[in-house]
Amino acid sequence: MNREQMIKDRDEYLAKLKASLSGRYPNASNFYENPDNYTSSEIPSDWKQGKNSRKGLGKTKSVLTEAQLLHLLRRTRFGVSPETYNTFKDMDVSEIVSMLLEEEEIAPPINDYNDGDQIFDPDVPFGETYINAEYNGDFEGERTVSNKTWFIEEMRKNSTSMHSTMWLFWHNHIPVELWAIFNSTYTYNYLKILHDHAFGNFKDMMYAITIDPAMLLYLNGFVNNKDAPDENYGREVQELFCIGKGPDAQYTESDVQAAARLLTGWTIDWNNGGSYFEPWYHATEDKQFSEFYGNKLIEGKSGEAGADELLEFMDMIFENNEVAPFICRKLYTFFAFATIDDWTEENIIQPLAQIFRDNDYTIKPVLEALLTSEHFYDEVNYGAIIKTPADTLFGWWKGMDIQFPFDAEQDFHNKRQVHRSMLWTMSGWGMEMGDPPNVAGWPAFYQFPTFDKTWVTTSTIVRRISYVDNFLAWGFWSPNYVVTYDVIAYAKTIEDVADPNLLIDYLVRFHLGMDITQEMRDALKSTLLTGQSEDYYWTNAWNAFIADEENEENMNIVRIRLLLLMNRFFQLSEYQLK
Amino acid sequence: MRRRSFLKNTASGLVLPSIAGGIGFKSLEMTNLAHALSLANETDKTVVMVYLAGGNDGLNTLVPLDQMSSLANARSSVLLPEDQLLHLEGTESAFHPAFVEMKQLYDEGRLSVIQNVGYPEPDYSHFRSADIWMSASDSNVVESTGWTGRYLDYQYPGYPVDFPNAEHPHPLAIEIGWNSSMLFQGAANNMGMVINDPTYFYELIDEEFPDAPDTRAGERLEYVRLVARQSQTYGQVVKEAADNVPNQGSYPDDNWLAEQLKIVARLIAGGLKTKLYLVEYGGFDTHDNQVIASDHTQGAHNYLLGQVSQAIKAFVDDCDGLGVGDRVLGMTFSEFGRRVLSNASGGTDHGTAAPMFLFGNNVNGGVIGTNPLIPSNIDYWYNMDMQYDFRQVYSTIFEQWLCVPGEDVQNLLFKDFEQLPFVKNSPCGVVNNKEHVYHDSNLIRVFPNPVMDFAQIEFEGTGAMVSIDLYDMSGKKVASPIRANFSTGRHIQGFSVEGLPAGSYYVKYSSGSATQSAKLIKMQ
Repeated sequence: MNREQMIKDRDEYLAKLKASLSGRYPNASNFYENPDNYTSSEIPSDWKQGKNSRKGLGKTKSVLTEAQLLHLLRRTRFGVSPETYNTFKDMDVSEIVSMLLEEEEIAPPINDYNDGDQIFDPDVPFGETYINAEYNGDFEGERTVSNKTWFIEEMRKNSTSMHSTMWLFWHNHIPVELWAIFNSTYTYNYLKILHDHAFGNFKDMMYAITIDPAMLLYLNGFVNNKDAPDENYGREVQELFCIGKGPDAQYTESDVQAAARLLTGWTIDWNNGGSYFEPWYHATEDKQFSEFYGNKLIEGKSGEAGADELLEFMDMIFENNEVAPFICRKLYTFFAFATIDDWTEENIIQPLAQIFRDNDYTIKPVLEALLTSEHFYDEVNYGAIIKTPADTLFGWWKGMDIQFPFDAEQDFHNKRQVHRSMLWTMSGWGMEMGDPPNVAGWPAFYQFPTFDKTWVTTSTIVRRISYVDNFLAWGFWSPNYVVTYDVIAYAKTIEDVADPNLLIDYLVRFHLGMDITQEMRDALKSTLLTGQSEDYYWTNAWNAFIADEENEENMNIVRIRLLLLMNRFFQLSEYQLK
Repeated sequence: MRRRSFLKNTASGLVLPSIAGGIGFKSLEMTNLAHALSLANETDKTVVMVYLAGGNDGLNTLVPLDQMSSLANARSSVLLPEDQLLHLEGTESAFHPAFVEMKQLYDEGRLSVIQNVGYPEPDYSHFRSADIWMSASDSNVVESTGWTGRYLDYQYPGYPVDFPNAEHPHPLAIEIGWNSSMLFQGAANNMGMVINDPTYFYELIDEEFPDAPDTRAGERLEYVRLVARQSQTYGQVVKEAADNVPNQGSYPDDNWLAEQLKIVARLIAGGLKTKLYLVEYGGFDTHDNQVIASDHTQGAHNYLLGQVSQAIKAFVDDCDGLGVGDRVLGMTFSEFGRRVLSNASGGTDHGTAAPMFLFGNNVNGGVIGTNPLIPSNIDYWYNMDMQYDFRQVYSTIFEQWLCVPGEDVQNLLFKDFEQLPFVKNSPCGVVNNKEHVYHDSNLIRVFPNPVMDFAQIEFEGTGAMVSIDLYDMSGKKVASPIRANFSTGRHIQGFSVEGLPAGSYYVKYSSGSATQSAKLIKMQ
């Protein structure tokens, strides 16, 4: 195995893939933004006091209202399935949040790509994991797709934990582009580190990531040696991963250089896989850091002891006060609201940062404090984030309780094919799982002042909407199956479905990020009533159908009217908010 | 940036409509703001960018005939037979045999070829190098906006609020395909519209809404509604433009690039005021089977270049036939050229500099730049030196074709770049009296040249080690006159060439990963 070969294999695979998708394959350069612009000090000119939350981190009331629970689940679970809602609805907030913060076990991804026809991986039996297999250029592409669908499945499935949401959070915060690596074992290891530490200790995660082979490849650590230091990782570990570019982040160029030299020697073992420390490549002189790091001097060491400099470096980074607020700001933008004003910085971010430090950089207590706070449930933040592609896609599947048309436990090849189709769908919406646009992650999570607005363009808005329209009209296509949506089955789960006003009210409460006007409710009702003026037309139609479900004519009368309603309803821009 | 700072200074004083305040989207009257902002020169010129994705092999596209013996050594497994190349009259260069139609354009004076275009400290990753070309950043700077995205930001401040409007009713930029590239990414928004079928647009339900409440969610809601409505209005004007052109010239069949360019010609001729178009054609990453072993004029690269050649010629002719030929400037680009040494699989690996092609009625036909110097004995890691920075091309397009004032061009590209003389009949009144002189880019310059005894080398100090070595034409190093650290800025050092035999040499500058060569001729 060598790097040239991997790149060659990757390019070949992508060329074939691109051809097979007739040009629909994502360009890796969907969105590009500058991390330098990330700052909390500039506030948009239209900022008004009345639009800000002034509620602090005090605990919210223990019983959540329906709206509060839905808000919590939308922000933490990529949408709300009826099942998940019912699980939580009678619990108090601390129980709910502790369930959300439960760790989930995850089995490694498997060979689910053998298709009995064109694709047959001789090294890995169907149904068994490929993560320990030798590099095989002919199958790394399929395995890489399976790494991605492995991730997608975790986000799509109904679960009471927000583990996969935090997985996405870290993947965005400490990105690696899977296509850029093209080694499924390496990228599996990378994703596994993020998953294992998703609720855990950030410092431990940073240590593991720093010497992870995928990261060593992604940010050139593998060629960083004493004769030709490469500053890429030495810079990003400070600028993007740990310290940030906030007003108090005063590390210097010489800190970047010192970090790069300290990290020399960590490289890839091409023969045996994995990474290791090669003393021969290590710069053994002392590394002097700036005043920002308390003029810390890390003594240079030769031989295997050179590897220990990384431990001292991590200690130095995490002794710095900037790490905690930097991560808390990122969490806040991800879960609460994009922009952080001075009040929020002082009353939310800094106290959260203190919790983070007090818990030795364990992430769970920070999330617990935020998600049980009065601040989080302040109504000014309801619907105030534009959904990510993940929210839109998985939220649709969850919200509509969509099921696979096959036994997904047994037929994991077709399950993978559906997830693969989801991958291309998300890619067309600007978010290909496993391949953020660059090392800064997706701009919606950091780019001031637009943030989540960057998800919406004249192209993506139409694709998001037509996805739902198509689903209603035909279903969702994957290579071997069309996943259809049974609007009748869904309607039956709604208690007051026979009353058109309550039906619409239910849809609004459960699916929209904000309320709509009475005029719009009336307009939606007239669609359901197809021009009739009296509510009982619908009530009678529904009751007639329920009385005799075998009667196809009665069934079609309600089905068509429901689809018309859904079509209009899900085009509302309020549906794009969470 | 002049207009930007203007906007910034007046934003609080001028009536900048707030999104939440209910914008006048529905009424298309020109707002005071739009009027106040219409300061720049308007031009009806368009730029059509053709991205050849994967890294096109420049040395087999434009072959330096005076380097054939070195090329035969270095890339025997992809070498093209000299007798089948299409010789460009008056030059020592020739096109690949597949470039028949491009040769016609060249002969008609409608093709400008720029030699050895690249950037300092080249990156060999597709992703990263494509980003560098699209953002026009230095290779060690991650820039988030596209070079044309920044132009659109500058030209249409405030977008998307209040767009479209009476003055700017059409999409600002159009990309044919399915995904938006970073090319049209502005500081806050992607300014491009992605189209794959101009006669089709997805019609959304047209709802009447009262203004959204003045809340955080309401502000987001207005934004989503605005973009959704734009998708409709722009979708409709695009369709109308397409419908205006029922008949077009002939294009080759089964040619994806031609299909895309056909849409572009249709939209331009149909009356769209959109200035920037991007089309993409992939497959140039020819690591293997670039050529067929038994006949190097056949194979993948031959196919790709043939498609490009036919598509571009058909497009240029169609634009002429539709009466818009004088308004269109085309440009090809690729993330890098390929390695000089061919590999064992009948292909070439990622390289550096390569030629760019500019086409249209208003280009100065000809070749800008000199043939690269290929030493006769090179190793795998040897790469082409760049002669021109791609940003020189961008700078020229901005100032001479899109009429952006010089100081703004510098802001848009972060630096000042010397322009190249490929624009004819500049609509901006920029007089192009430069000959096709060979501008060495600025790392190294040798004078006098030819030289008899004592040469002067002017070069750029970097604060790090600078090495200057002299090689003969066989690639043998004959002298190393300079090897020292120099402060940043220009330096001049002399050295004696008295002891050298007469003939041609090249002087190679390297500092870090920056390298550049200049030719030196020793006379008796």
